[in-house]
Amino acid sequence: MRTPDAGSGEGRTADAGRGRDQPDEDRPRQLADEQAALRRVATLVAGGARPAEVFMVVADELGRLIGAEATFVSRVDLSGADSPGVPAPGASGERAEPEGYITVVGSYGRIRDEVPVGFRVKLTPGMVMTAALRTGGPARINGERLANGPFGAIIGRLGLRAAVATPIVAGGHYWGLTVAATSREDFPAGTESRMAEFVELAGMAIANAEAEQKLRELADTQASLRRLAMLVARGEPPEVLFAAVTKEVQRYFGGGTARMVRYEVDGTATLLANAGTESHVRVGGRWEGYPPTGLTVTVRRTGRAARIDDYRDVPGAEVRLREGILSSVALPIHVNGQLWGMIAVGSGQASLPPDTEQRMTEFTELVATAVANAQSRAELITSRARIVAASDEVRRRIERDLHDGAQQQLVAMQMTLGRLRSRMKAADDPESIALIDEARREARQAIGELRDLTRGLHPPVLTDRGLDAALSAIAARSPIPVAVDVAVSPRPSITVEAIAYFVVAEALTNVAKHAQATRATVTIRRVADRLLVIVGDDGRGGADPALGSGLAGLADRVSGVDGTLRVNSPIGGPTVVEVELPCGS
Amino acid sequence: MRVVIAEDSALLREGLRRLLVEQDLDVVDAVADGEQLLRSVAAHEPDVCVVDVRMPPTFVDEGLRAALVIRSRWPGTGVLVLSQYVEERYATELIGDNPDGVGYLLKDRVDDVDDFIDAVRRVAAGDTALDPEVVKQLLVRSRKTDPLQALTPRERDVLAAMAEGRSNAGIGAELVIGPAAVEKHISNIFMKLGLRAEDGEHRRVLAVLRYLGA
Repeated sequence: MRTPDAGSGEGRTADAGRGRDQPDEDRPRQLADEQAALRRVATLVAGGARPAEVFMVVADELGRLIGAEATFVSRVDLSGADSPGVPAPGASGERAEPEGYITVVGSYGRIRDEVPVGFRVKLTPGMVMTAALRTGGPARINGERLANGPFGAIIGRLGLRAAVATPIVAGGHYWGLTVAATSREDFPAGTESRMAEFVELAGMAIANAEAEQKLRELADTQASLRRLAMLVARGEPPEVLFAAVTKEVQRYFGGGTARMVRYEVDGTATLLANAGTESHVRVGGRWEGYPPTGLTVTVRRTGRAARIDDYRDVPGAEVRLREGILSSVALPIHVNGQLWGMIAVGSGQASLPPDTEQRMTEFTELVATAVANAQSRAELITSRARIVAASDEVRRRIERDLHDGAQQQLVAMQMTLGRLRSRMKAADDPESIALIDEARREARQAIGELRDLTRGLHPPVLTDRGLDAALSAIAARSPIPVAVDVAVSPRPSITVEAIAYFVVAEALTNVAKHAQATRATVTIRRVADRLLVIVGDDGRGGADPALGSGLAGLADRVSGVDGTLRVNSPIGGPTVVEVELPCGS
Repeated sequence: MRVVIAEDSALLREGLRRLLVEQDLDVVDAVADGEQLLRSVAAHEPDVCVVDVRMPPTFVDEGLRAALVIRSRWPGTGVLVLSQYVEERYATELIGDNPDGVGYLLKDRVDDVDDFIDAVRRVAAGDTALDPEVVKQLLVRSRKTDPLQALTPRERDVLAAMAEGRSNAGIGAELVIGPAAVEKHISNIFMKLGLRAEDGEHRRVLAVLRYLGA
């Protein structure tokens, strides 16, 4: 930390020869006072006091130390850069006229009511603070120039006649300012250097206190983000996460209120979550009645973070003022590069801290991730279902094509062979008849295989008459008795029916091949919006669904419609294959 | 014997027509869908119609639905349904509570002209001709399982052959057993099913129906 003591400017002239004019006998006492004041501040910081408290005490001690009736400590946000990261000018350097805002973080004495904590004001050229920031060192204003300056009214009311401002520089950057004012004609000479000395050391304490607070907040924020991330990881419904995030955001940033809003494609918006101040819109309802130049509109238009430091300056913002919200910050939520919604925090005090936007980003990113996850999951489910349905459609089409094509050609050939054989009967040509019979057998085998193939693609009776009817042929093909019991009303979709059908076909094939069972049962029920398919046998068990038992392939189709397939087959049996398929209306 | 054919594939329609004509059947009409079939049956009142299941306009079960109309409106006309697949459910619907004059065969069966013509004649005469494939399905789905348990495997084979509409000689030929053995199995079946002699020749149908639970 550095306290520049050289430079020039309007405030400087009054400080000429500081220190040298002071009687030597005062010096040790002043140093002792300064030490004591600094010790009190340091003790406070070491005790883990909150920054706000430290700022207050610093203002207080400073006032006492230099005999000022009014002092305040303020943060400074210089525009044109990420304040407070603006480099302080070098010792001889003079920067351009500083522009930006100061925000009071601690005040002492008479000024407390007029310039309270949270008081925010724009820097203008006539201010002592502007002068201090321009030169990087203490600046003084008194007399007419103070009375006619931007604070003239307040100054006048309080009867103040001279003011000194000293920049607080931390880590080579402006952190803020201290300002001291007196009702005496002027501060004594040397006030600047005493103030600068104190501020240099107190500033360190301030920075420490703030750093610690930041760490605590960061830790809190991380804990909170971790809790929210757990919700995301657990795949909680988005509404749960929206409510949780909004609540956390309210706790950390506004204290007053926090709201999450989703922008709809039709230009409307929906209130997704509300924390703190009651909203005039219920959660889930259309978000309306917002100020026409408020943050809902701005964020939607710009897709960027936006803030309002004082709703009293915003036309049409009475609705916020009635809620007791004076300032607000809103962050956009972008999902996959698209503006999806926003989170806004509102405070009853003017102007939320300048790092609010930056700190809220982590929360909006979490929401964006959760929404993107939920969206891609939903898209995955529908696209998988589409693929399953599309492949079903292809199977049905191939079945139709084969039925109308190859199968009919083969039947026509069978007719021709049959007719030929009838004619040859009279001709007494056993060799030719034997050849014809061979051709008939081959044709019959071909058409039988083709029929198995087309039935395996999609049995038409399944679409036409449903599962119960279609399963008769499957059961009849089984070498062991199968009891089929189907109660499915209303019928599920063609896709779901097809999956259920092939599950039964495959399961019965497995029973025949491996189970050494004497009987099997097929039970299919519709329970609300689930279709339950249960195939059981009294065989030896030990079936492994992973061992390439055609069921593994079916498991993909089952999961394609978000269903589940379980095989319970202990050694010694019995084996039960259970499939559950969603069949919502 | 006068026959009407309903088959949407021109190739098969013509093949069937020739096959039947060569066997001295009188094919009075050959149409391509269910609606034309009903008009044709109304106009010709044939002894039997040979009907494809999947026909325009929906290619689902038009032939079957036309067959049911024919069975209720023209009981004197037998219906032989042909299909690439046979389904228990269609058979059950087709038979209803009366298997008289009903046939349901895989199209493949046309390659044995003698058997096929025999089926056409039986259906025309008011008897039944069911494909062995569909009989198997009917037996599996029979809700009357108890009497089925009482039959020996051989008796079940004989019953299945009966359900297909075979004569005693046909059953004997298929199962390679003598006429006396066939008679013995059949009387055992009737006994186990509780069908008495006074039910006459109809017992064969009743036996099948009981088993099928139709």
